[in-house]
Amino acid sequence: MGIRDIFSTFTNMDTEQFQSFIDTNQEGNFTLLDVRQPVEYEGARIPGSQLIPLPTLNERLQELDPEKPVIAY
Amino acid sequence: MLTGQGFKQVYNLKGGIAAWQGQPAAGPPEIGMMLVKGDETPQDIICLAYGLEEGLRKFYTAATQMAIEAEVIKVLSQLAEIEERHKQRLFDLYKAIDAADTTIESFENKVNSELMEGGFDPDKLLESSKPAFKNATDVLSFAMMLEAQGMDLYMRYADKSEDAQVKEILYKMADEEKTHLKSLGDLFEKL
Repeated sequence: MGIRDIFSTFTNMDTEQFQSFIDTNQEGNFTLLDVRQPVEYEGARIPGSQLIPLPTLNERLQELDPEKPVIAY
Repeated sequence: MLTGQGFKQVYNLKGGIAAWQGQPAAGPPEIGMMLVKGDETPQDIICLAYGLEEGLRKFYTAATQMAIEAEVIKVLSQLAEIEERHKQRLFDLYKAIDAADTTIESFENKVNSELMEGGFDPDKLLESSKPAFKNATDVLSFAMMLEAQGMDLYMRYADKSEDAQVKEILYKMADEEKTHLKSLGDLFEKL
């Protein structure tokens, strides 16, 4: 399964919509999920992102709150 | 994967971080986390946050002394004042939570000893960064970096914290740093 398949049921959010979303939603009410590799996360990330690399996502889903909107990158 | 597991709203950031134009945070997940184990009391977290806010305030105050544009100095002064208000709010919160009759002196002593223990020294950071400040753009970039790192750290503290009250405090602090980041970004655009 490739990354495209995993995100295929996601709604796309462009950067303008994203900026507007984070500007209008309080921190703690949504999850910014960084699914890249740790080395990429260390290099640069969107502040406040939670790192769960894609290969480990399935086994670490319990770390996320399903009630909160999740924005993944 | 997430939508099939009961997650109600899931979005994919189109273009990922490469398309995003904001100020990133950097460093490994554990950076700054040596100060937090996860079992801290709300008082401990308030002390940490107070120390971080004081670091930011010192930076903004020092930056206003540099020869940069009047509009930038105005914003930096405002940010320094806001950080001072954050500190006051944190101290008020500390007093509200802590049953003991705490004075600002004893509180600040506790903050300083905890920060030194964690190896966080805002004065050193400022001194080592000063030579790189040549103009307003440099100062604003550094300020945005600090706010982004601060916000990122608050969010990671919040995620690690087991106390609901602590989480709430940290989310609120992160939210305010986000607002600062936005105002600095707007100013940066105007330069």
